[in-house]
Amino acid sequence: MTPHILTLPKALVTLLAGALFGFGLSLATMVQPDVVLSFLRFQDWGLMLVMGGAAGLAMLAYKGFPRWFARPLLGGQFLTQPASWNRQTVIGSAILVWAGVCRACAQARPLRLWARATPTSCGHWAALCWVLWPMA
Amino acid sequence: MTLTSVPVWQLLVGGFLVGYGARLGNGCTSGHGICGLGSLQLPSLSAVLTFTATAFLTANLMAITTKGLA
Repeated sequence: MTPHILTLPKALVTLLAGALFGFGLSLATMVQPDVVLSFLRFQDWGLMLVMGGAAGLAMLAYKGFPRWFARPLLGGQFLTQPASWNRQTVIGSAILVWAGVCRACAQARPLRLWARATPTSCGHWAALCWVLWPMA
Repeated sequence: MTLTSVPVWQLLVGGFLVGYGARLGNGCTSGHGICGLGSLQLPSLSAVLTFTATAFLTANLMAITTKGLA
């Protein structure tokens, strides 16, 4: 009944999922700001496939797994987490991309462990600060 | 080694804004776009539309502005 207890298998699967996510993003060139920019300037629609494919696959998993399995493979139970909606979400979403150039940075956060000290990684680190800040 | 033509300061500013916006908006691009849309949450759809529209607008405005300066 306690889905948030972190066991070693869960931690490993989480790490693996993060690595796979980061690998997928870099393979899809979503970590290159220039590619993302060309998408946002309507010159390259490839990233639509990345986002659409990911959302579609996630939907399959979200809808399918609770039907196929009685409970999660690593224990606990399937839960839904309804999203809350308020004015902050709109403002936050707008701020999220105010800089325009940094969609890639947000996407590349799981890659931080592998990010080299190239200019592109600076954005990742900056975004990471906000992730770590509430934990401190 | 250069991977991008985007200046470092813009990446830094963008990174901070991404982090701030993601916390304020209850989720980042992937959170709302992949997990939110994947589980058919309407608030996430609004968030995705908001940040995609803002991104399109900003990227094109930035392109026009920098072209004008150069």
